[in-house]
Amino acid sequence: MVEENIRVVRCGGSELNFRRAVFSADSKYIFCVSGDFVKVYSTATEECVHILHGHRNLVTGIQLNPNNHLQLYSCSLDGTIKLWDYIDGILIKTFIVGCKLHSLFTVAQAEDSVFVTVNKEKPDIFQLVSVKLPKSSSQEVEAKELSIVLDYINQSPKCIAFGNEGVYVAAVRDFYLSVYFFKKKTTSRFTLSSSRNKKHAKNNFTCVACHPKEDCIASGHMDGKIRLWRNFYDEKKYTYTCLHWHHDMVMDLAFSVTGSSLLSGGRESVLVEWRDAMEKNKEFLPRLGATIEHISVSPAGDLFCTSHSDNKIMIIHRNLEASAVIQGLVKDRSIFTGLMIDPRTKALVLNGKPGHLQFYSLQSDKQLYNLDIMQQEYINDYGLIQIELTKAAFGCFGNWLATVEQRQEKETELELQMKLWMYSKKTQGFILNTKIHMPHEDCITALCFCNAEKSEQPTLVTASKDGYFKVWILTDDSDIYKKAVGWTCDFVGSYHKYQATNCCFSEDGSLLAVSFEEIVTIWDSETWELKCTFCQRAGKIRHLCFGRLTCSKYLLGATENGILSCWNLLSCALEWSAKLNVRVMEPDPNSENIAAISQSSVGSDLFVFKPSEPRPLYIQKGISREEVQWGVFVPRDVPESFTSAAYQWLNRSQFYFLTKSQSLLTFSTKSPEEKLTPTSKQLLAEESLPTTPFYFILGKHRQQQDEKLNETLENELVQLPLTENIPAISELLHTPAHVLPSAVFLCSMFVNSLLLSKETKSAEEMPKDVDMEEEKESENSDEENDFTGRIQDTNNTDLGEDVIHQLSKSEEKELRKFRKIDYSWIAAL
Amino acid sequence: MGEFKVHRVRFFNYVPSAIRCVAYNNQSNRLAVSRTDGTVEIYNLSANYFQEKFFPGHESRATEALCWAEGQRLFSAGLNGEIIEYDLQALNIKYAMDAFGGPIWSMAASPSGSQLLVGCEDGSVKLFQITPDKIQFERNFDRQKSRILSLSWRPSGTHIAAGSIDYISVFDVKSGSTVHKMIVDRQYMGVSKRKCIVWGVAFLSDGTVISVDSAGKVQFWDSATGTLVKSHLIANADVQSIAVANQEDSFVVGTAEGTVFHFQLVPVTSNSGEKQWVRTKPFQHHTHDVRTVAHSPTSLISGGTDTHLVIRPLMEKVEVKNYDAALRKITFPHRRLISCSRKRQLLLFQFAHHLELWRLGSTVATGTVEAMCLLAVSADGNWLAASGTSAGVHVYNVKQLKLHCTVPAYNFPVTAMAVAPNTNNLVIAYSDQQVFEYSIPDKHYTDWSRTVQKHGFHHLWLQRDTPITHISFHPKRPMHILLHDAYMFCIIDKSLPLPNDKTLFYNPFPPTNESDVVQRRTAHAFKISKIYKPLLFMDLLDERTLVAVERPLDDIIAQLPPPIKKKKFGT
Repeated sequence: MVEENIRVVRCGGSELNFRRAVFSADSKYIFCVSGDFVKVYSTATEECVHILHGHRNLVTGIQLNPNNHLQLYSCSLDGTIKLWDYIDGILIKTFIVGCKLHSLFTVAQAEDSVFVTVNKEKPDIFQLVSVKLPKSSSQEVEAKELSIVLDYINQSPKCIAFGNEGVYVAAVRDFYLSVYFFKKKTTSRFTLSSSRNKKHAKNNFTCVACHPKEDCIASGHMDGKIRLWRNFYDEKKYTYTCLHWHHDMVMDLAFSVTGSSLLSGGRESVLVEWRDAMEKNKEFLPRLGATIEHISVSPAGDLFCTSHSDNKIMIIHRNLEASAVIQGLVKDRSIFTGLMIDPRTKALVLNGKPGHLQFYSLQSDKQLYNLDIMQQEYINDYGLIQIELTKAAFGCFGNWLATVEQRQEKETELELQMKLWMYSKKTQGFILNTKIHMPHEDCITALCFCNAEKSEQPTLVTASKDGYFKVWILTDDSDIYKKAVGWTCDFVGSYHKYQATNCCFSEDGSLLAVSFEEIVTIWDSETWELKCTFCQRAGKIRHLCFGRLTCSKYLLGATENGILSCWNLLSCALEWSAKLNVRVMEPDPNSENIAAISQSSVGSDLFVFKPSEPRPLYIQKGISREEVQWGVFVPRDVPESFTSAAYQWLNRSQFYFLTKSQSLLTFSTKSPEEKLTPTSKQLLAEESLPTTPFYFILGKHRQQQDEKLNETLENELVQLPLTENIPAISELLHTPAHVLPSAVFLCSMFVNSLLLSKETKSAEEMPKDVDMEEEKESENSDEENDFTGRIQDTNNTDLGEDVIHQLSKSEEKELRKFRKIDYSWIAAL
Repeated sequence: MGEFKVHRVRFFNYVPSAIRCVAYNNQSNRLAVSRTDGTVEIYNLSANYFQEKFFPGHESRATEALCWAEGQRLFSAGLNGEIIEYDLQALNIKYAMDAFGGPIWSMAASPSGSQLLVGCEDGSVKLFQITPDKIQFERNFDRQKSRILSLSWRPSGTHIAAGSIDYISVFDVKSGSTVHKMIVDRQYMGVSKRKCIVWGVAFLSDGTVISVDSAGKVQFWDSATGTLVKSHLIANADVQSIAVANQEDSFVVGTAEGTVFHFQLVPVTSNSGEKQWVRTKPFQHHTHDVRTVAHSPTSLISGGTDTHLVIRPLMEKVEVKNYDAALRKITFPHRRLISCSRKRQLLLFQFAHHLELWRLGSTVATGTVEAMCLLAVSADGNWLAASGTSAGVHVYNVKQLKLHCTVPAYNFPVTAMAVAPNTNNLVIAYSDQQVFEYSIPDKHYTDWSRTVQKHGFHHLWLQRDTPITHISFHPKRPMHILLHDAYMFCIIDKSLPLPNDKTLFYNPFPPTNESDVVQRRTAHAFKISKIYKPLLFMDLLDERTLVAVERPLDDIIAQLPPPIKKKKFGT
């Protein structure tokens, strides 16, 4: 499995809101395009049931097969139309068209053809063509029989709609609406006034929808108006009704299945339902969080679905109640906080919705939750200067979270607020503990916790442009009413009134390095005494970090002038320096390795090195064409075993980075498909019931209990791939009930694995001594929390002993053996 | 052209009365408009929407209903309980007849035009027979509990819908008895209002009754079963008026918010014959209540408290898209309300019920007043030109007291005329914006007039939408004709070349400091100034002084009652 070839791969976070989502005929599934894949979600559980992969480029359109509602058509920029069986996630057929396809439409009446948009010659001119799909039994069929329906149309599929059982098709572009009648083969064109005066300046069409029963076309406009066109067979006698509620562009329109109501949405983040197409009869679903990009309606008529600009799909009941949210990585804003890893959930943490931090699971490619930092209603308006969440940091193994928000309207009017959040075990979330107004007089440039294990008191350091760095400590804030803790300022340091630009604690927490423009100062964290200064006179310090583990005596600094320097803290001398324009510098928490990404005119290059030697371990040129803005090391759940010296840095951690256009990339040897489906393959929905863990426990396995009584345990075990990363929970659920231990034991393990998934997972994979721990734990399940702590300890000490830890073949074998022992032990019970 | 000193007069405190009723006559393409002061005006829609007839009113005769019957006969009814017929030839009231039912709120002529129906305060509906020279009471219908505010005949003439307070009654004409009583919902946006007034009803030939009411609803009822078919809530305020097109494929309603909504009957799908009523376009041309609407084959006509008469053409019904297809907003009467004495420097203002005489500068009392109707006297007193409401212009010799000649007949009504002092040329302006010069001594059009007709007027001149209301002459410059409408003042210099469609028509006036050569090249006969608007009157006081009377619209609006307050987005 170890393929010694590393490449940069896109890892999830792709747009779910690129096209309208499509419901299955029974409303149990919802399909959405996501990069090169089509994802199938359950509408009831929000769980991703299947990922349909096969396209080699962006998927641009999906539609149910009108003649078989258990099949799905998809089209892609790779020039193919694929037909899928979505229940089993199987590709049935591929039709090769040959040119880039930009959107897909199906009409029940046109039995053997579908409609796609293609562009010819000029980049902005698109054509709607019908493609005849030849009947053939082979897997790959050429479909070259194209005929043009409409020319000079808009690229977006929102601008094309088929109406009234495929009798006509309506397309909008700029200021006109074209309607093509298939029977008569004529096109009518209706143009709105486009004069520059104020009244008609924003008459542009933005989207179109057709009434399912009547001859009525609804069009959305830039100025927020919706026009309902009727009598459009006659270019003279046509008439329209105006509905006006939106104050900004109408982003999408959809009629309900019966046509009795029209749904519209836009930047206001409010779903408007117009009943009977009357202006006075409308219902609202407000506060949806972000701009509504697409609206779709289930064929059964019971559900609506809105796609939002924050990469979210909301499933909404007919009575306008939101029932489910499918949230991907929020990408529509600039990232200030950088990439962080939540030590508890191992989730990627970064700016999300305005005023929120998002916790994004890299494993399952979905957002775990949103933490509302600002706790203010977001007002969406052009030119409004918003409060921005600029900095965030986790401390004390995820027990504390510090956030900084700022708003600067003018040079002199700075609003600054620092918030400290405590993790509450009871609510399993962060609770606001301390709010500090104006912690500094000027912008905060850096924020770091002292993450040393031995430190008894949580400590936070903030550095600011006002020339000071402040040390904040947690103190007792109890009064007669309650016991409480709070943060107060403990020490204020400065150095010749220079702006403090970076701060960083050493690994053991004994030293604090603060950079003041070009100068690095080292402070003793016990007494807050200035120990020494380093000055290279090579420009302002942009990044600062201490070495780790065996290299903890080194301090690294990267300057704006493209110099990377390494100082020895024992000799207080410059160890080495190199000319490198460092954009991102990230230390690996599990090894001494430090990754630096440099920026040049042609692209970004990655350098991995140890502070102890100036020669890099690994260089990869041209990891991205654009600027890389942030990077982070994510500890692996299961260490990889790359034997080649160049790739050993990837054994313990995985490196993720984010480019300017906000694509999240990583290094991998595996194909992206393998990467993305760690667990979902296990959760195949064999029946059309929604797949939940409880379904597996209660439904399927109850039936199977009797059937499988006689089956041997070995059979079951052989089916499980040993090397694959299987979380404890699915192991548990896939073991037949009769071989499982008692319910008392099961319950604690089950809950345990749900709450602290990482620890339990690693418990599975840990070497011998950890298994012993688990054994102990099984005897006394009350020790849960201690157990977690111990694992952490073992893990760390393990790494401490052997830094370039690498499993030899024999060790691996031993590990596998232990796993088998583990299973037989369960069977024995 | 020379420069003038201008008396800019803004103290003419004229406020037109609110429009109460409009009635459109399809046969003659004329529109009758009645105002709250009892004035009735007749507009000729074929003659460039010119106001050709005018019946001065009186507050005691305030009209509530106006209708055409028996072809060209015009009737009105009002709160004084009388039905009035107007004599359209003699321009006076033919007779007034008391209906003996208290104040009359509504009136409708039967589809055949031979019967007249009035709805009274006491809840009675009275049927009158129209005889050739009078009307005759025929009978009463079943008396209702409250006043009858609206009436409509079924086009077949068999049934009548009458809107009252909280309900609509359907009568059978033969028996005179109530067939159905349809109760209107009082609920208004979930809140129960005290009463729901049915401001208007319309009976369609298929038996559908459309009602508009004070709760802002337009409702469709089935008169055969007496049930509600469909309800459109269109306004937060009263819907006060309704008018249906003759083809019954569209109707128009007016609301108290000043909005006019157009409803159209459109097919549900192209291949099925099923049709439905759809609210299509709203028009917001009024600031105040739209008290009345009318539906001509090609346009929607509305009027209300803000005193404007708005004629909105229906683009889909217009054959050629020329300037006739543009929106018309008529605010000021198409006649001169001001006269001026040159010698005495006096201004005479004509109001509905009184006259005001104002002195300009520091000259002394009394003066002669020119005729208020279309009469023009020559300066030497020899000739008198007179124009009736029909288009012909007759010239009389005053000395001999006999008809001198008749100006050749023209299809459009005369809007203004005057006799030039030295040449005795009669200058006539017609409602289609044509201007003719007729030599009285020679009894034919002058050469200049013939040249103009051959050459044709500039298209921008013909596109003006208010008629010329006054013509005068410069005493020292015989080649000049001074004329004006509500939006421009023009001096025609007969010595300069005429403009063709390519030349810049509205050139800067007074001339800018361009070089003389350029000026001479671009100069043409029409010198136009649009500085003063709306211009009610402009004349020469002496060689160097002009007097201009303006009536800014804002001043009129300031004297109207406040409109219904509407929330405007973003305020």
